[in-house]
Amino acid sequence: MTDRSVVHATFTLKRDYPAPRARVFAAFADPEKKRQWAYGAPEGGHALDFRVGGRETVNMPGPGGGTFTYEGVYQDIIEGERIVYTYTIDFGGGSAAVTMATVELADSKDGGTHLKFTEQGAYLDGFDGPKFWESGTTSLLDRLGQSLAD
Amino acid sequence: MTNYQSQMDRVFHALADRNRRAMIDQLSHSTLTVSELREPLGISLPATMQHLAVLEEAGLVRSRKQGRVRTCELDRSALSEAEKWIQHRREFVGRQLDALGAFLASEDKQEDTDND
Repeated sequence: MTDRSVVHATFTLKRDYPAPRARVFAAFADPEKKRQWAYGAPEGGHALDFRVGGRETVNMPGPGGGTFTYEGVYQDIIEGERIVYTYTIDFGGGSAAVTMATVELADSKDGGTHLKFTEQGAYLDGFDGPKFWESGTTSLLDRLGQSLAD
Repeated sequence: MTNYQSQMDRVFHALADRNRRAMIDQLSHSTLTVSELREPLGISLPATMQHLAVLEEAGLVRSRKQGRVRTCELDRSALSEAEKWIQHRREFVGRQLDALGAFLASEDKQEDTDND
């Protein structure tokens, strides 16, 4: 039996884009657009059914030779404002994470869009995924900041 | 006080200083010598060594001397596989959001071309 563990964590990323909200929202809602920016062009395929209860699936070759599988379900959609979805991420050895993402869009002062992405999840290990999370950046600090904020 | 708490105290003390946070940030990109660490901060060598000692005590950084040069690196041994996975995940999503920015900019260009 392998040594299994789970860590629960939340991280938030923020970006400002010089594009109106409708266009940023469309980049998430339109399957062809999302395929372009989020996944490149996966050989194994990408499907997106953008409605509450609809699914997004991605199958693409992982860097370690295995298959990366992502399966999401849209839970909440407010046009131009908010998208909430739950998903599993699998590198071929069972789920590596079970997570929920919230995308929030707001107008910024300059006519652009402020995007806030929050991912909350159960991050699992003990799976046979390729080790391509070699180096961290400042996330140690961010996690500490997060734990201070809790 | 438990060992865990006193360790956390050392970590938070280490991170309370701006120069030490900058040192960690630099080391998150690569392994560096003490003088490479010192240069962008514009602080003295003794001050750098003091900051380094605090970071080492907190278990955030480790250093070793090779000849006359001391090299420093982040100590990730305290992180579990799952924590490393979260780091990876966060970086991956960050790259995706940057790609979204590039995509939106390319749409702008496309629009300009269409209007010509």
